[in-house]
Amino acid sequence: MSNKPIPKTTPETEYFWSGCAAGELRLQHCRSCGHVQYPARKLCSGCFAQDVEWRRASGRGKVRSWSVVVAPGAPGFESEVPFVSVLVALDEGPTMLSVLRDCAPEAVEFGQAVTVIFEQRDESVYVPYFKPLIGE
Amino acid sequence: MSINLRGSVAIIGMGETEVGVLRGQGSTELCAEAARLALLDAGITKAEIDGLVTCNPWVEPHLYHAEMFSEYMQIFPSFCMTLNAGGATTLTAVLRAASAIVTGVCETVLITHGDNPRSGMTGAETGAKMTTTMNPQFELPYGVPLTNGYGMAARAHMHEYGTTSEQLAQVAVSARKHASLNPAAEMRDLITIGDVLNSPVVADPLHALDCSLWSDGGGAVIVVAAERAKDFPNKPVFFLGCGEGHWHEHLFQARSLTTTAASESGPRAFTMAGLGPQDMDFAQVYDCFTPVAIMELEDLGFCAKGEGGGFVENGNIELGGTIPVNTHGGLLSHSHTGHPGTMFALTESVTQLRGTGGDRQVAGAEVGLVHGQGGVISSHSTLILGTEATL
Ligand SMILES: [Zn+2]
Repeated sequence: MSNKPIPKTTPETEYFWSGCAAGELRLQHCRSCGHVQYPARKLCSGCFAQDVEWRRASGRGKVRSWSVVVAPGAPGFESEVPFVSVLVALDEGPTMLSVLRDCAPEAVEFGQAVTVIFEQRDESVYVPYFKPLIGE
Repeated sequence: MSINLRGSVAIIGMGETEVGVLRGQGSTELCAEAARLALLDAGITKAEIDGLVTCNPWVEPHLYHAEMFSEYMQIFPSFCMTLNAGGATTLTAVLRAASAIVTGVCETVLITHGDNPRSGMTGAETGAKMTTTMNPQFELPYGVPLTNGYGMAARAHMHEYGTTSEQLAQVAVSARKHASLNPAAEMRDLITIGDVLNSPVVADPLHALDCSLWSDGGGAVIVVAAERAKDFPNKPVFFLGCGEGHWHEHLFQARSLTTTAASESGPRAFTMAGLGPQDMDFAQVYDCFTPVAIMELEDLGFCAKGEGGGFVENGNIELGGTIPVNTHGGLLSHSHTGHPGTMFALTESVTQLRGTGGDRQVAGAEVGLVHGQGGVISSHSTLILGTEATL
């Protein structure tokens, strides 16, 4: 497919990545204190309870900041520049680093509503990207 | 139990190699040359070194670097450690050296760093090494380089506080002005705000001249107990306070994009020293990118939060201004040797407090601050140093 980096999964994150392959963003919620965390851990980083459950996330968030990439930091992205790197504050709380698709660099705004999409990276791996949330 | 480290130890020797493009000199060799120069400066032999602190270079890394280096130098210390907090490493090393001396683990600590990422690696190797600082699952797959992480933090600061590109550029202009007075600096030709704004955008809103250099070089200091400080040929520089703050490694996990852990490391250092920002005669802050210097000046208390953009204007951070910042030229214009980068801010501080800064000397400098940062505004360490008069 391409020589883009493949995420190195760990036992703690396999369910997150299988969610991406199934077209859903999954986050962990602590049953003890309500903390929502990303990336995944066996324990809750808020209260250390070993009582976290996976839930399907809304996939929606807001742009916290962004910067246009003209010189990619890994192989495989050369044909995609310029692209918009973005920090997305998910509606559930955690922030993700990602890339914003379907939006011209000059059209990005602070607080802009975005929604997750998944891009295939190899046979079984899908990576969460974002695009503007239109008309809601 | 609490031990006050204020005034407990002193820096009695320092060494700096040349910086820039040093073809044919390896990382270990630069580390050794810095150490040799520091020993000469201190007037001691290697037999007196019983503490050794190093950092792992990018070129010629070793899993157990300090152990490798003690073997290379045939030094046999009782205290030996490799530290790894990026640009915060140097000052965390000083804190550990002070702690080891005060607790009697060792008496004479050599802190030495050297690396040659500029000429010892190809562009592809440097890029590959840079990606190892990224989270392998949640950052690396996006192909977003570290520089854009700083770009996103800069944009957030501009949005939140109205900081302008001209104000970012001013940090680079002032650094270059100081470098022009420093024969050891890599880039000495004066630049203007227009030069910065007209340089290519590398990770918007950051221009090429908002970014630090990429250099070869090494530096070292020698630390001993304060009561021994006068037994050496050069004017001692005393440890007055040190503090650290560690909030995240990866930017997407940052508690804030615009306030750094310098807001904790600074107050910790000032409290130990019994001093405040208004008492400082100079401040060497970590200027890997211009917005970082602005955030740190705010978080260290040199100005109110959000007012750093205006604070750096009108020569305020230059010699003769409110607080001369990065009197050697900083990472922007003196050199950025990778992990050893902050060492030159430390040796410059020693130079200033010895009063041997030549054309760039801060008149009457008695006390100053050095700050280091590692990762992407991640790890922060602050050190306050002073002359004997400040004890
Ligand atoms: Zn919890």
